[in-house]
Amino acid sequence: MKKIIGTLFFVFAFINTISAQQTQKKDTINGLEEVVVTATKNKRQLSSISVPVTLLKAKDIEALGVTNLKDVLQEVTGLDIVYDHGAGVQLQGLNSDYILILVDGNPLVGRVSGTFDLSRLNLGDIEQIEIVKGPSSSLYGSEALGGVINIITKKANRTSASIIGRYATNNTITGNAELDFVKDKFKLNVGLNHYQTDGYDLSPETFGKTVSPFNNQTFLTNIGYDFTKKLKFTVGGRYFQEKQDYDYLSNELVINSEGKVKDFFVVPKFEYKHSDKLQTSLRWYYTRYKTDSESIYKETNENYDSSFFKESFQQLESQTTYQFHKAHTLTVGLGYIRETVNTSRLDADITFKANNVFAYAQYLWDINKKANVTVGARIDNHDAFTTQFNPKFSGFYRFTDNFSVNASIGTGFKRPTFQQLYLNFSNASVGYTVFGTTYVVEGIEKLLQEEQIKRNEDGSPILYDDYYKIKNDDGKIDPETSIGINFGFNYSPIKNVFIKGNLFRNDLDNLIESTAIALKTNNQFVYSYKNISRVYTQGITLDVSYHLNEKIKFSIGYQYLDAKDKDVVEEIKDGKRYGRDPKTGESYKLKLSDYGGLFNRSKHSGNFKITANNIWKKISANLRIIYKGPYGFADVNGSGILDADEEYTKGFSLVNTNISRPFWKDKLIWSIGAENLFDYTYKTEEYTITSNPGRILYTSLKLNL
Amino acid sequence: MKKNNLFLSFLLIAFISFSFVSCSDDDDNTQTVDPVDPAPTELELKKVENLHAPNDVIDYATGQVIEEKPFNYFSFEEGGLVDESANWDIAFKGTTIITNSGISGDGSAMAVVLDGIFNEVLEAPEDADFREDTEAELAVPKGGGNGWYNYNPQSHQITPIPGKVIVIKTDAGKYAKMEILSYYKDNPATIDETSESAYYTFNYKYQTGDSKSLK
Repeated sequence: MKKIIGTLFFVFAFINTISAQQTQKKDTINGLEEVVVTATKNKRQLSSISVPVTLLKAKDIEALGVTNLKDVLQEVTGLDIVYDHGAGVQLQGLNSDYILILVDGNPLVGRVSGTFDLSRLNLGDIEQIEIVKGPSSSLYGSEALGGVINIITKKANRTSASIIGRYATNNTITGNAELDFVKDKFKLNVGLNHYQTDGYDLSPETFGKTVSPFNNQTFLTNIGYDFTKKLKFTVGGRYFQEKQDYDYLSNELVINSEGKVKDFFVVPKFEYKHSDKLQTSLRWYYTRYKTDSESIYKETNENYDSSFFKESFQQLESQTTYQFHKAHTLTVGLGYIRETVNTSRLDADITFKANNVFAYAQYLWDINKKANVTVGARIDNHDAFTTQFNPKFSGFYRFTDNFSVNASIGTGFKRPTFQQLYLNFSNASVGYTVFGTTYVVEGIEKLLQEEQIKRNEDGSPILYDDYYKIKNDDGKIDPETSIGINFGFNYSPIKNVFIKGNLFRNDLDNLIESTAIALKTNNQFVYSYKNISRVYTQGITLDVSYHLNEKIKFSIGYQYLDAKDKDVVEEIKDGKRYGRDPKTGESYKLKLSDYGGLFNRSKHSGNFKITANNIWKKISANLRIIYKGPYGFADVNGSGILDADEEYTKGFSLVNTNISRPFWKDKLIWSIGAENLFDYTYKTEEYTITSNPGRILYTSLKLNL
Repeated sequence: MKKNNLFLSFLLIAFISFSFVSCSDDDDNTQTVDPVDPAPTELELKKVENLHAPNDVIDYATGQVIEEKPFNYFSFEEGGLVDESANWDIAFKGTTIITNSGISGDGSAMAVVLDGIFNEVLEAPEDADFREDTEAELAVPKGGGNGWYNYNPQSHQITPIPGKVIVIKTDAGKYAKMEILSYYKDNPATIDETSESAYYTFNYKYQTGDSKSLK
């Protein structure tokens, strides 16, 4: 911590000195006109925001030539995509579990083992994407612990239409159609997307494909009607379905499995503008997520396994913003959340329900043209755990037109999942059992009656300490919590050079992990969950861009990341952690320098991009190099942590490019390009990056009507 | 100045009296000619390689044992495998290690799994720390992550947990320590599909005398 503050101070002093020497003209700080909504739940100029925000605009996203949100986020400095039960985004070293994904401010649900699979979100109908780094639970509640990614969908502003057709390697076909219609007070936007692929196979020597063929369809809409100049009504909606068919082997018999994913949301919203100073809104957001999986023996068509998972989430929220004496903005909100989950991983057909009432307030003071501060907090009162209070404080100061700083500190939380609270699952083939904490007492009682718990010689059942702890706490489990600090700056040392940097530190506490609570007669354990580990992530992100002229732009991004388990660090200090020499098999005491921190995190990552717009015959092109430094993939030597060279991947770079040319007065745009141009794949005996299909070539046509 | 002198004299007195005490200590030492416990000499490091202990053949679909395999009985005194009728200390079958006591045998061998480095375990722990095999738990507990090994459910690999030293009180009441190095034939640096399992390689030191020293 001291180190961070020291470095912070140094960087601050250094930049301050330089900037004092430079006097620059106005308008050199990037994008004065850019407006974001996520950081404060109100429209606000990006250039005076007091928290770290990355903004991706529609035209920048389109220029990448990719089709899925994960491909876009992959290229953002400080973001990474980690594949664990889906493509999850990692931000400031925090996994998908701790990042809230929003569409127009509404949280998307449907996580698998904590991961929100971004591949459910195809590109289309997007106005811009706003990425807020650092804890944002003071506005958004649970899961906004590491940050928030908000997808702002397109609202119709004039009647128009477009159609995109795209063909790529692996027989991947994408079709996207959008229609905007405006008539007087009525606005309509409709988007349709179809995606299909044959998948790919990285290990032809084994049965089954690495990624089996799948297809999905998305329907998005935004309807707006202005009753009066003051009263506006909008309704947003989405429907998504995906189907995947695949074969795999079980005991040398071929199993055919059909997996389906569906999600849906609708969000009607009224906005009432009393005056320029006072606005209020009321919205109801309802979303459902459902997966279904049916597996049969291919030869006999007999049922092998079937499972489902259903989740619903609804939120009623009102928000009022009041601006007084021009410089003061007060935002207050009140809401109610109701969630249900129903899954086949339960003994009986029970739907679990949870209720959450929340309130938040935020005060933003524009002290003068140079400085502003924001203070906010939110209270979440939930059925299943203690009330959460999450404050946040942030400030912005502009030293000169070319140099500004921002700093923020806030807390975040993630509530225990339904699984951690209510699960009652026994693995049929291995024989272990998992109980959610609220079910522990009842579940153990039942197992005791059924004589499934092993007994000591004196007849007492073998129950571990953690069972009694959970019992004494009445099955309550605390949310995971964090404190995050960010310190950022924007600096333009010379004309057309822009530097944006951010130092961050997140301290996570009470992380929930599984724990053995009893021994079964079959010598397997009964597991439940408890608050146990403490983790920190810290680092720096830096983006430097240089605009050679109106047309050509270079940029470099870099992130240094240090993420460790605090308890592991302490145990190493106490000499209680051991490694194993792979050659001799002998153990040795680990040193702090051996510990590589949390898995799946690159210490160094970065990107280099060249963009050329409208260079010759209106052709635009770009080249992007995305570097991912070595990261730990798994424990190989049995130490339980990342500590040995063979537990790391090598660092690698992926090169992406896109070239496009408009025809017929921009009515038609033709693009060709490549993702992973040099066909890089990673496959060793220990580890294969299965998410990387190798080189993808594509061509697409967009027709603007 | 006076104060300083006073301080110096105090130091002098303190020094002299300390020397006296030290001298008398020396005198005491010279009187004990033969120390009862001589500085223990280092025990010989021994290594057992590829002790084959195949597990029962089990139909994993039903959990039924198709073919039962025998335990392989080991005696530290003999430094190798012995017959079940002999005075064995520990025995191996698959990943299971039993001791000759409690539910596993008629002997009085016991064991305890310590956290530490083999070379740093210099003495056997108190007798009260040793365990017999019981119904609830073996002296060397069974199960992945529980006793001496980790089990990787993806690769199905068995690897010794680093920093586990098994200390044994043998059937004859002597002490030994062991560290399991590998569960695969020829102790391969990387385990793959071709590696043959249930071949133990371990280091051990055996105290032949009546000492607890395992240096």
